[in-house]
Amino acid sequence: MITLWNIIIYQPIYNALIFIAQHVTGKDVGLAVIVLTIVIRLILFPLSKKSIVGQYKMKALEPKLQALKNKGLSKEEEAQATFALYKEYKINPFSGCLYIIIQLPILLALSLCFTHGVSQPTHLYHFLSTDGLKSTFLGVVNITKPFFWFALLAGITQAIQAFLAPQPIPAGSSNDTNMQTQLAKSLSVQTKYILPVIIVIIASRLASAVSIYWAMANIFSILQELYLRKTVRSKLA
Amino acid sequence: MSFYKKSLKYIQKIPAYIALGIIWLYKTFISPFYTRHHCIFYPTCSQYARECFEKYSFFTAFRKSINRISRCHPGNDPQVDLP
Repeated sequence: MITLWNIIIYQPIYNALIFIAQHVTGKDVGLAVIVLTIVIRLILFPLSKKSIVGQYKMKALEPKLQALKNKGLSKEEEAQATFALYKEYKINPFSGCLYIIIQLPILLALSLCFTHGVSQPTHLYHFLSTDGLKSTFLGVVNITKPFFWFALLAGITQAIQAFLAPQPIPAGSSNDTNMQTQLAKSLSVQTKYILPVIIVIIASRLASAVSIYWAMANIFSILQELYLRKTVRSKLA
Repeated sequence: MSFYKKSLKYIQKIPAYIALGIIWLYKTFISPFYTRHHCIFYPTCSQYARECFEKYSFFTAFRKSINRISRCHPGNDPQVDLP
């Protein structure tokens, strides 16, 4: 199991990082993390693009969805009706779980890369070498050690991203006013404010390379959001 | 039922309990981070996996969950898919 993890996920990411650091970014591993993040996000871009466009189109459907919710159907029937509506209007506001599941091992592998140190001869492919790599970002920050300001940046960018995003309306979330749904609603609002704080706390304990990845991924999402918002608006108008 | 059979029944369930624990961790600590993303199915993949591990044997549940997650991308239409 561990060898499988090493061969399929850990080694490709580690070696991609070393390759980028050697050839693209002047032997600065910190910059290599940024480039790697952008590459990963560009690969995943088609997956997220469709759903973001769908979420903007969904604004037009909102009255109909609201009417469905007020009908008092069971959760399953409501989901069925909602999905039928999406199909009719040919939109898909969800990006799906695969997008998340792909990213989790990448984040884990990346953080392991730095807890084990930049030089790991056992995992290095034979045509690469770690000679002369600098593990200080821009010559200032040691990326294998925690660094608070990058963690803070990751938290702030997460907050900005959360506020930019229109919330997708999940299927089966009835509009009834019992205590449990009210509680769930208030919790989902709380996560918007509390999550960035949690991210700052977690990231300030991990290698600052992870904070760089996190912040960069968020910045990419923000830019993607702004870009798509502009193109979708001009298309819908 | 003899004592051995009874204890064997519990031991067999250990992998499923571990899987359920992992799903709980995902639902509480990881899923909320991805505010922008939502499952395309009803019930959601994590809920589906949870019900599978409660209902089927470990390997069937594992296979069904992997199958479900691999179908959960924007190329597919949203649909109701019960375990």
